[in-house]
Amino acid sequence: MRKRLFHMILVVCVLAAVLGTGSSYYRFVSKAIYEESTSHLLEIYSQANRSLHNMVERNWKNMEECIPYLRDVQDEAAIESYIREVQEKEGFTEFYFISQDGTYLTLTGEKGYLDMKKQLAKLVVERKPIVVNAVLFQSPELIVFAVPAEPGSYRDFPYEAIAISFDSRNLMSTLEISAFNGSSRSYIAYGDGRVFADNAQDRENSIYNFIAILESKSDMSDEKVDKIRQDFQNGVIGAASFRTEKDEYYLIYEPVEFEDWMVLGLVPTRVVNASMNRLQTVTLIMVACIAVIFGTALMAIVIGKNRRSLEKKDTEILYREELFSMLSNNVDDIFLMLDADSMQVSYVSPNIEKIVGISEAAIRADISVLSRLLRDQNVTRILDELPKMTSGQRKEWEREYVHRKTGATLWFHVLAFYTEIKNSEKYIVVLSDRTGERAINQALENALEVAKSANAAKSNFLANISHDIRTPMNAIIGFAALLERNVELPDKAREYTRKIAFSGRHLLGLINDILDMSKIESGQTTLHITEFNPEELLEEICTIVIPQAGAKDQTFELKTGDKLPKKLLGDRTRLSQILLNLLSNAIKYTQPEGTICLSAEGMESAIRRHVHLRFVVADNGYGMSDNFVKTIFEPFSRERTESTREIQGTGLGMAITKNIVDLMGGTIFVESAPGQGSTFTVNLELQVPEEKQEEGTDIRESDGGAAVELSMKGLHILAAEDNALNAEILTELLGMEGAECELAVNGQEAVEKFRNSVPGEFDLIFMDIQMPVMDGYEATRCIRACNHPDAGKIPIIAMTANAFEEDVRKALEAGMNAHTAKPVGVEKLKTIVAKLMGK
Amino acid sequence: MRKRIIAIFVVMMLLGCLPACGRGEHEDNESNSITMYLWDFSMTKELTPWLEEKFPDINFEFVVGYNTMDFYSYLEERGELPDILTCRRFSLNNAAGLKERLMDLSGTELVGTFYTSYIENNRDTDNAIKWLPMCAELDGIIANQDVFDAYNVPIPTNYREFADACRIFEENGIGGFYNDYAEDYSCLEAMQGCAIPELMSLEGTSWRMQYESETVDGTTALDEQVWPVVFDKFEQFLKDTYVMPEDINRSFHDSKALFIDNRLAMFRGTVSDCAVLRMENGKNTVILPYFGETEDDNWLLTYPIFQVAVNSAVEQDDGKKKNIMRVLEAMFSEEGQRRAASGNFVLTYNKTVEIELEENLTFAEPCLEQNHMYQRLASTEFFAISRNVVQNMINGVYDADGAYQDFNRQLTTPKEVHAEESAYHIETGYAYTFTEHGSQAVSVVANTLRKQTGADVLIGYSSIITSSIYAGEYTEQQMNWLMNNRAALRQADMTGAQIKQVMDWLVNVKENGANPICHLNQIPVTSGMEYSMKDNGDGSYTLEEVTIDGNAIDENAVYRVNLLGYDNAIEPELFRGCPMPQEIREILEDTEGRAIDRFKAVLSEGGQPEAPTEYVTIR
Repeated sequence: MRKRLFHMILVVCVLAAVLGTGSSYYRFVSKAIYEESTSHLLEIYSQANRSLHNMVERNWKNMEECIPYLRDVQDEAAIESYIREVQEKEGFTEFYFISQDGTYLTLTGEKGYLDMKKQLAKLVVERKPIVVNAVLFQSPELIVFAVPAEPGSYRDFPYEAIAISFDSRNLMSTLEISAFNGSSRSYIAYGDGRVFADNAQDRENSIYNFIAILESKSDMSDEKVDKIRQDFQNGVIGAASFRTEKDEYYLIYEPVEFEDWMVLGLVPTRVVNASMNRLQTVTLIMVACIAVIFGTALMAIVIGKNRRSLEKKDTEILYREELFSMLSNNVDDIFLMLDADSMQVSYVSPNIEKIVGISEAAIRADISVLSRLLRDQNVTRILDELPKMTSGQRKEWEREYVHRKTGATLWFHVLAFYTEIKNSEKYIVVLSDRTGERAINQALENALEVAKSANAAKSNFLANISHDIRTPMNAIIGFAALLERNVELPDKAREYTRKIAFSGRHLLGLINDILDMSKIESGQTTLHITEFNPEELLEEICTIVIPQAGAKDQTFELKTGDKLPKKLLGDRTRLSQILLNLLSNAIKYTQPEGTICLSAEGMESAIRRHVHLRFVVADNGYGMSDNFVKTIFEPFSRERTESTREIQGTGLGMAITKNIVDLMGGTIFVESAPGQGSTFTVNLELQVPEEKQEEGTDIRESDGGAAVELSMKGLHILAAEDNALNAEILTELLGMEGAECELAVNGQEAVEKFRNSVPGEFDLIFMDIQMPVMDGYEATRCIRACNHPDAGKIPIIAMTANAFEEDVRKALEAGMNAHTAKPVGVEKLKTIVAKLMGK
Repeated sequence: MRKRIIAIFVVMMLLGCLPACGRGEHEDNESNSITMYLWDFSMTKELTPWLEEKFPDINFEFVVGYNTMDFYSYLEERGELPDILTCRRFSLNNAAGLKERLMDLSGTELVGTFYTSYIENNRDTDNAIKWLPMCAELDGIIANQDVFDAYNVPIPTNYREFADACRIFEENGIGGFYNDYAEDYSCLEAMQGCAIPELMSLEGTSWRMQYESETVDGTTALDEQVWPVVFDKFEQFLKDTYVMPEDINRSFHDSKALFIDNRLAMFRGTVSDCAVLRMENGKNTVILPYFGETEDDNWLLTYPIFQVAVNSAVEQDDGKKKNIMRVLEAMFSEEGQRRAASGNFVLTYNKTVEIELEENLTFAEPCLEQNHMYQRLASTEFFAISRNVVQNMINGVYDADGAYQDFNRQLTTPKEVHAEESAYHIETGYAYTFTEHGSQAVSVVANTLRKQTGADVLIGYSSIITSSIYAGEYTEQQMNWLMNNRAALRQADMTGAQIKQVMDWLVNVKENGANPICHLNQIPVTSGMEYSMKDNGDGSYTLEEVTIDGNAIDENAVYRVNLLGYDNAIEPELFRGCPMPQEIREILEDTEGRAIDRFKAVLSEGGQPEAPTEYVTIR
């Protein structure tokens, strides 16, 4: 701002300096021209004045010379001739003989009265020459020059003076100024400015009082006119210049040496200064051009600077507008500007239609349409709140609106400012769409709820698992203590050992289920797809189930449909697990002598080369309540009724079953009612193989596989086990089967023993995984890598508590041949050994 | 903030301008208003309507006053000196009393248009020129050529022939030459006219310049060389024209009537009178000069038809001064001078004007060519003394020498300067100014006169008063000046219909286009009744309603009516040309005395003028 002011002042100063210099130069030149011209004119009019004076003197002299002639010559004709000769020479209009009373007689005998007023007495009494204005009927005003003469008589007319007259034009002919080609005007005026003689050719433009004309029709100031008036009255020579509507003139005035006459010259300045004006004009034009060029350059600089400044500001404004336009079009905020007095919309962002479904035009027409979108029409209208605001205040509200077109609920945070823009009171209202934010918050809240629920479930799970583990552990520890006290009593010892074994199996089942459940939920469970015969599968299941059902006097029934394919592709083990779980549950929760039915049927599938399998496990057992049915597939979900209270279970079976069904892309649902039994229905889509495929190698344990009758008797086995207790159990078990076991406390020792063994010394190796010094994997790799002749062929069986799929894969990758999870039963060992040794 | 400051500044500027605007308008109105007093009603014949037409932007108020400088001195005392003054009776010494209040016109372009030898006659001792002479009236002897022809008498060319002609006509029972010796100007002109060569001699002009350069209180005696001859010649003139004492009562109009009736061969008159007789009366008239011994001694007597001066107060108002100068320049233009002279031949004093000679000036032409035009000596005292002395001479009180002595005595007797005694007192003043409801002063006079006569209604021609009514003391003369001295009251019993007829005559434009009202202040004044009229915007008015106390006048009722004024301008063909309806004229009766005397009577009896009423509404 200050810089701009400085620039403006600078420009003004420069312009003032240029104008001042130009003006001073103009005044200087004008004054020089004026002085030169008036000096020149004064000289010219002095000559004219001298001419007039000479003319008057000459005429007086002529008249005085005439007097003795009149006295001496009596011949009137001669007198007339003489005077006519003088008249022709001097150019006067008439010659008069003047009587004492002012009566005149002309040469031709015409009489009349010459009204000379006081001058008559001066002429005839005082005997002095006079100059007087006189009027004769229908003739121009005369200027009469008269001289006293010796009294005489002409044509019997007694006279005492003689006179000649000029009319004004004749008189002025003597003053004709030839220097200006007739452009000049000459006047003879009285001291009061009255003009009585001039050389004007046109009477219409005659001047009758020069001073009056200067006063009324010139641009001359009163002071200058007064000065000229004084000069006229005092007979002072002078010059002036003035302008009228028509032209600009130089005025020259000079007193005549008789009466109070003044000779005036009036010449247009353009005539006098023709050449000077050209010079002045050219000079001025040049100066003006320089000034204009300088000024233009200065202006151009200033304008250019201003323009750049403006362009910069324009660009900024453009950017700002573009930014605001982009923002208002793309953000979910609606911007409104309202006139505080009229509540008319001054501005509304164009995104309003997109956000709330009201067009820009509609909101401009009536702002109240916005209020009609409020979900709750009872809430305070913001438009009603705005007038309560004071200047500079801001307010905020949360409002729920309805999208006018979609009906969707919209949450807005409304912010209002009351401000003044260009002397106009305005409300600026910003409606920020917080619907998405609110949805996220809701989701987070929901997630939190889920997390809390999960945490609660976990806590519940841990509580359940703690309970379910502690229960068999209590039995084991308790019966172990009783066994220790009653070891001497074989019946009791067997009874206690049987209960310890039962509790141990229950605990193992629980741990297996937990691990299975954990694997499934962690996504670590994958399906092992193989070709199998469903009928064979069903038969195997029956083989397992029927004894269990028979133990409770229950009736088991298998129904298979006609369309059940002979071959299917699928995870035979998992399918078996599903059905066994369902059937196991049915047996458990059906009273003795109850009926359990497994039906399996194949149906056409909408998917090519697939068959829709439906397995239904129905019983007429205790049934379940509706509430329990809803949670039956959740972990640790067990209904505690009078009937089922004594039934042992982990509460994980149905959860695992549901997860496996889901893993297979099938569905499972249950229908049940208390006392009405339960019906579980499993629907699966399984592929039908095109041709017979090679059965995949499954080195994993297969509980459902038929047991191999192979004795381990005579086998020399190297066992790497760091846990002394486990080593002892293993040694005892193998010893009981007739096998010899050599122990190594870590992998290193196992490797060393194998290396140091003679070929064929060991038949196979049981390898624990987690061991000190060298783990099972490393030891296996060392054994396989050593130069021992049996290194590549000796079976190595992983025997570990690491029972996950990943553990199996690692074992195979390390070079092991099989994997079995702890605790290891004799039957399981025999089966594995049989398989491996059989190969 | 800045805008507010600017707004406040603008408002202050505007507020500042408001008084200036108002003042400007007021000054503008004042500048455009010009009051012009007329020496005689004849000026309204052509000049004033022409001025109004020529200057529509100027609001003129033309008031017919009195033809004397004393009247203007009286107005000046009352502070109502008009903007433009006109007066026919003029001499520098008479005008000296006013000169301080008049504008010096010597430096104006207008004065420059005057021939020097003429305008110099009006130059004051202090070199100022206050009065400008309008064109010159030519005064001489009007001769009825038909009578001369009938009696085979040649038109005289010198005094001897004139005397012979008079003798012949007298012998034939025809009047030779009559003059209105009752009027001062006739006495003055006749006395000076018969001895102009003497008065224009070196001695005569020298004495006159000396006399006229003195003030009214001067004591310059008659030139003892010139004036005895003048009285001798005039004595002879009275004898040669057979003047008898009873002729003093013969008026100009009596002489005019005899002349028209071919019972008079010559009478004193102006070129204008001569023209009127030719045009209006069909007389074969010619104008003859005042005769001298020889034809070379014949002179015409001249005087400006009026002189014009400007109130110096207008110099305070440039706008008004400019307007007045525009008006004066128009008046002294060729057209203005023709209008002032009502189209008759006049001798112009201006270089810018050329007026052709008229046919009836044949016998006066030699005088014009010889520049034998004598400007009468017209000081106020000369008028008065001339009448007194001339009438005494006619009555045989004294001869020429006695007349000279008496004239000289009267002229040189020191004038006692004392205020005339107050004769009347008026308590409340009323303005002359005319509004849409008329003039208060005029209404006061009308109401007072109606009350004085006891009439029901008074209707007056408007031009009955000359000025405002001032509160204060009045001398006898000043009271006389209030009203036209010829204004009289006539009376009649009229029906309402006849009253409306009178008003119709005084207001409405006639079928031939004649308009009885030439200016706003020429509208009729009424008392005891009111009227309304519409301003037609073209200088004419239309009568609308005539009411009494607001009710339409009962056309059948009979009212006692006074008619105030005199038939000065409305009726004559050369003026307004609106003759009074004959049926009204027939029922009017004259009353005794002048109207002003009735007004004075009210005051003398201790009464005061009646309050004014709104007697007219102009729409």
